[in-house]
Amino acid sequence: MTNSATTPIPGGDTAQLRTALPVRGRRIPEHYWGYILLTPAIVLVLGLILYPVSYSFYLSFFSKHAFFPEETFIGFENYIRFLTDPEDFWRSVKLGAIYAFSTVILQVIVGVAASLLLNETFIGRTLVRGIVLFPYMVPTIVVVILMRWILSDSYGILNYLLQVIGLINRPIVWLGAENIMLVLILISTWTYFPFVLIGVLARLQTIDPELYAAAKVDGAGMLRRFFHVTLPQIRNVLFVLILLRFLFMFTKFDIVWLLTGGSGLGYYVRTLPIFTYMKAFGEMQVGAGAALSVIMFLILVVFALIYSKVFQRGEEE
Amino acid sequence: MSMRRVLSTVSMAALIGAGMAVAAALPANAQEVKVVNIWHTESNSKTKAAIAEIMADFEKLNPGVKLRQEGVSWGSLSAKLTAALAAGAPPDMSHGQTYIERSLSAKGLLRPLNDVYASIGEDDILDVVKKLDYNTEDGNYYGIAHAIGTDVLIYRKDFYEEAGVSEDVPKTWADWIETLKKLTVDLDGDGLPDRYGLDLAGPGFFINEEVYMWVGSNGGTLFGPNGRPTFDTKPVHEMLAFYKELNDCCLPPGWLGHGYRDNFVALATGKVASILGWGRGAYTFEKLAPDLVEAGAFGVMPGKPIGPSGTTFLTQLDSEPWMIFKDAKYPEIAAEFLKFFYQKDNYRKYIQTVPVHFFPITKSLREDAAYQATPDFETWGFWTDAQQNIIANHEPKPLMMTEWDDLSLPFTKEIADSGILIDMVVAVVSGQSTPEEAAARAQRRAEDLITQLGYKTW
Repeated sequence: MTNSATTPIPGGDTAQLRTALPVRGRRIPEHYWGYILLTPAIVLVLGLILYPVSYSFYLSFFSKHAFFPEETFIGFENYIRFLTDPEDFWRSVKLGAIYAFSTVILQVIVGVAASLLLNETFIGRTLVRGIVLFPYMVPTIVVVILMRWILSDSYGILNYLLQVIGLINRPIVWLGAENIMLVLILISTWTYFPFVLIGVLARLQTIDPELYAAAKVDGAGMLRRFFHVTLPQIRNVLFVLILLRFLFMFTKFDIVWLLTGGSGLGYYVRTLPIFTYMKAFGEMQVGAGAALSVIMFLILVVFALIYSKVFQRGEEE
Repeated sequence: MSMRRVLSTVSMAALIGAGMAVAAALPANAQEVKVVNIWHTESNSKTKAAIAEIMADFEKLNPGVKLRQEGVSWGSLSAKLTAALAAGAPPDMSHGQTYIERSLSAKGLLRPLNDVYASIGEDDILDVVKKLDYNTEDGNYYGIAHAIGTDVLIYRKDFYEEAGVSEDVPKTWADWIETLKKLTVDLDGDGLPDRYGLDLAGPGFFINEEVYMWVGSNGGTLFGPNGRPTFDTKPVHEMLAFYKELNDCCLPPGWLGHGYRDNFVALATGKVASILGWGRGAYTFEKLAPDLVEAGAFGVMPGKPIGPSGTTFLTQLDSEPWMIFKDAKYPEIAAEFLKFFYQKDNYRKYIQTVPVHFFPITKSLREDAAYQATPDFETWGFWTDAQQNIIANHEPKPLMMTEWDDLSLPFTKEIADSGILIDMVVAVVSGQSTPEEAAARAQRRAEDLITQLGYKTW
């Protein structure tokens, strides 16, 4: 290595620098560098995504106990068993869909509304923008412990406050069979709406203010400006956000399990990820658990395809 | 960049890396530290401190050994153990339940603890403890209880007095329901109860617990002699009907969402008149209601009511065993530590951290003057007496075992963690199914599961 390799030539540009440098030995062709630099990423993708996913597909055709290496090939038996099981499997798909659709709809409504507010100019806006991200940054376990404490029918502060202001005269059983799905949806909305907020707010900041000015001149009120200027502008961002949020919420495990997992209440919110976990790690049937993961994956692929198609058709129209 | 430069850079990096690896390895060779991982379910800070102290003393005697304790909640222990075992990275030693120990030892995953028993002295260990952990098929012990205790009915004496009901153990479930109805009271005159007769814990672990205790108290079993589930039987139907009756008359509407600790809070704060629970709860009362403790407002029943088809009651023997994993990194060191742990002074130190909950498993410690002088017994002696009476006279059994023969079943962990019993109860108390329908479905699911696991023998 020579000093000339690191010393810039005064007044010379990069191309001059390259040609000016002495070249010793064989050069690696430029395009190989692309492959070399991509290798770590490819290895990571293969090792951390492709291999586990392929192994799941493979396992789904076997009967296998979680503790033992022995496995018995059973073909499509796991799939047939679940797809013909309305009591547990289809019930969990239904509950998962209710949970995912409800939380996504609410997250989008709250997220868009909050981003519109935070796009306005007011004193302390930067601070509020920071604070509003708080629910998304809090660890899930903290959210759950906090919510259990707030919502308890024995000592929860929410019931206490509602009683103090006279709205109720006896505690509401928030964490009971009747309300648990609603509570889970509301907690999940509160936790994850900042994800929508960030995406939409970023897009809102790039909309040309002249569009609003022109709409005002044309006599458009606040609502019409939202539907005819803002919404078309954030449409593409919303498409991606809704797709991502649905994928995340349909596969959501942590908050559901931590709030109700393994308890009597869990029966009322046993979504597909929870059902999968119970098969794989409760009953120790990892083959069956893998089959459920594959089915969940396929459901999401089908959803993503239909959703994209519908969105594209809307674009064309 | 030339090939030569690439090669020289890579060689240099490799050399540096190798040098660092050698440097890192040198001190390890000179003084290799063996880290032994121990999981336990004792969340009490006093207990954790005592364990840390015993560990530190062991480390002093065994240079190069580092013991690391990790507290794991009951709710997540089974799942965490499963994940660790499936990944081939179990802790060296862990607490478990007897049914977990039995399931794991049937799968050949545990190290026999015969040497630990011998070191303590087999004759010094209570018979019930030996019975729990002795595998009659191969003559090995695969676990050893860290302490024992029993589940009891805990109640508020002041509420019983106020309602004019007897503090004697109700003889039958029907008597119990009558008592609980009187204890479920409307305090503000709005026609709805403000205090309930009983609270139960909603987590699945506790629903499993109630199911097997009440089936056992109703003359039933969960499994037949050939291991076939016996869920769709009269004692189970009656147990489910009893659950439903309790739910409708005397339990708070949100009980399925109540945690175990919430039950103690509810009793201490007067939201309910009685609960089922363990000795550790005494310390929750001391913290939340010291005045009531001083006034002697808490009582414990020395027995439990019996179901319509039963002749004797069944209650749970808390007998969490230590288990050592055969394929862990340092099972032999873990076994040495266990021998050290049960040495009288160390064991007393541990037991005295929660003496109302922890009954020693050795006769010698029970007779030990320093143990008997434990200050907590002055306040809570009635609680330990009640447990002593049940252990001595009513043969409590570990979780999921209605019969001693159930100890040999290899699938109780899978049944307990499958949610089958929990779904059965929820289906009945929510009114979705009759006891017969729910039991039949649970029977079908359990049989399917046992078949799929390859344990079907009928």
